[in-house]
Amino acid sequence: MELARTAREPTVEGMDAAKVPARSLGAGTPPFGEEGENCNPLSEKIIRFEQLRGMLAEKFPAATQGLQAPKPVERAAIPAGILTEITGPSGGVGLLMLDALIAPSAFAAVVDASDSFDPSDVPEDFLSRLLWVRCEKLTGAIQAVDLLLRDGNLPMVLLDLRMVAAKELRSVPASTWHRFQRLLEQQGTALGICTARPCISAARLRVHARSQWTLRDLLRPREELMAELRSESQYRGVAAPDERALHIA
Amino acid sequence: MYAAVHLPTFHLQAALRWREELWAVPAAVVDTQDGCICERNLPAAARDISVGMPVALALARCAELKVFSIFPAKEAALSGLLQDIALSHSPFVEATQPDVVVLDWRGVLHQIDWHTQGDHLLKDLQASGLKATVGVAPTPDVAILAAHETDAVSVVRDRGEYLGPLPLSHLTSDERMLSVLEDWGIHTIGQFLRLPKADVIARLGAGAEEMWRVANGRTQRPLKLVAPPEVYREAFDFEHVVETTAPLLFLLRRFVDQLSSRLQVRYVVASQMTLRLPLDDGEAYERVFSIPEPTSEADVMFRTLETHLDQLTLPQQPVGLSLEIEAMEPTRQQFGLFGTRLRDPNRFGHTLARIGTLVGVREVGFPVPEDTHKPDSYQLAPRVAWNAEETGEPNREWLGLPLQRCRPAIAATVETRHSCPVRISSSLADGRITEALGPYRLSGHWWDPAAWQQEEWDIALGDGLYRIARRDNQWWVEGCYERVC
Repeated sequence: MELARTAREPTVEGMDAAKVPARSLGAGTPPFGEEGENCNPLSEKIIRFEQLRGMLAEKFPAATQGLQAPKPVERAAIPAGILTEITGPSGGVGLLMLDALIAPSAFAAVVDASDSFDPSDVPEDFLSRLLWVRCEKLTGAIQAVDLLLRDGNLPMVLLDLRMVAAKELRSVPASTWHRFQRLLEQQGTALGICTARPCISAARLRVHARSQWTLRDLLRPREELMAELRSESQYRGVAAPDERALHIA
Repeated sequence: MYAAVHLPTFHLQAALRWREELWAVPAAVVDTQDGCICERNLPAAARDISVGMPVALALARCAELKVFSIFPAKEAALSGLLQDIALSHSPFVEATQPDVVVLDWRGVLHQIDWHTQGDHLLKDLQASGLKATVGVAPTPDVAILAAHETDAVSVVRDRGEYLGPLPLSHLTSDERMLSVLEDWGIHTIGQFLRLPKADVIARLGAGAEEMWRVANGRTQRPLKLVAPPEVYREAFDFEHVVETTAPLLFLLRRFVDQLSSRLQVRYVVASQMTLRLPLDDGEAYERVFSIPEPTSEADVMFRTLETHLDQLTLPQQPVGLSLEIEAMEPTRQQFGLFGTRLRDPNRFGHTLARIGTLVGVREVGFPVPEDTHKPDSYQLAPRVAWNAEETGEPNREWLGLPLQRCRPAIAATVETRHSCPVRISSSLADGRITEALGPYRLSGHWWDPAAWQQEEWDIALGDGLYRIARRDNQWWVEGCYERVC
């Protein structure tokens, strides 16, 4: 039995329906493709604190990254505030995805449109900071990304569309990606969309993985594979950002 | 000085809580043990409904009389509210009875205008919807008497002058003792005090000593200070089944506002909420909400409940509602300079709840590996620590490309030669296998019926690299490493 969502006369004697809280009942999530919801402004103090933390991370990288070797800032694959598409054969895209995802002392989210993400590829101590959204449908994945971007708590969100059929991807209105771009600019979040072939027209940065791998490469250290990975970065409609958030070498 | 607060018609106030409109119509509370009216409001009194009248007679006199029974959960909530308001006026409060509290104002207030102080207390009580009376006196017992004898605020400065004319029924409810004193011609407290104390106690027993102590009005007994509750609760029973979420949300909002105020008065925060919906078939639906970052903000708590009710499906219609909040001391935590934390954990928790309604509650969370070597064994935890600090564990060397899993695994037909796969046929991977690495044999739980074992291969086809596995003589495509489209 599902409680009706429509506004009827309440059953409690004397209760005035006008006294029901102003927010609409049963509204739940914003409909697919709707725009215009205001994002909550961040606390000014929290923003300044985050800036301080960023400065400390640059000046004292060893203190922020524990036992891991510090990652050069020019290796950042997905800049904040820009819709990035990572496309190409799934092996190279997967490497770029993990490289962007795993950052020391940071939260991230993987929105898995076809439930294909394997957590065993992620260091176990990072799992507690990795939100995994397992979707069965593309629409659910799109709405989940929308909610996470509006939330603004996570600095990095990855949407994995590699195993989604091309026909289904083409059905996503272009306005969806443009809406994501505006949210990214407001929240300063980094959003990477992983695809098997280029299809995100609104992507400001497209990283195309070019390497192809053999079976023997499965036995090699991943760091070696990353170093040999060939990719091309293409900025569209926006000037390349400064050195602090650059393309893949 | 001490202040006592009394809630006259306590049972009726509890019964009519959240239904203030019923104060304007005849209403009464019945004692279920003897079936008689124990309290009634003014409109009922105007219709000649009196205390002690059988309910059948009362209904005969007034057909539109609203009759309620005593509801312990509501009365407990009302008592809790009374104590919380009292604690905002004094740190030393005694919950003498469910409808009476005593505040110690000695050394706390240096005002000499006790009437003004009493007025402030009364206004706070009235602002919370309580009909109360306040008595201020040099001792707790006299303050309680004063609270019972007044309609608003009564300040007693001279105990003897105040107590003298009062009837003996204020000292005891023992009918036998009152009858004896009546026979002696003793009708007031002043007359009682003029009797020789030792002789009265010898004639009437220990009860008379207690009467003397109260009548004397000089006893400064220590207060049994009230301990702050660990659980705050509000409840309501509907007269009919509820068909929409509107009444539930309306009441929940009022509950949350009320409980939030009580939490803030005590400087505590909510760590957990329990929502309970009694259903029409006698069962009940219960859900516990853990608040990511304990708070006393009403909006945060209500948002969580509203999101849950929006997607709730029940087997039967609810007939009641209760909300219980577990309180705790607020944590004081400095932001770590060398780690990150979520900017707003409560907002994030709410976002996760909304995502859960889209994809399913079990399908969003933080992966936690299960205690097994079986591949792809993870559970999703709804909540972890909100501070991302490094654990400092040594790095493990990762090999090869990350795997894109097929969930569920895709059934395949594999042709083997010398135990090595040479051709595969499935909906994802199809064709001649040019190269294969394996077998990688895995097994576990050999000691119980959940024993498992499988043989994995990494294979190369013309269009990419895949992982396949054989379990129970059936081949499956587990995922792909590289696929060229």
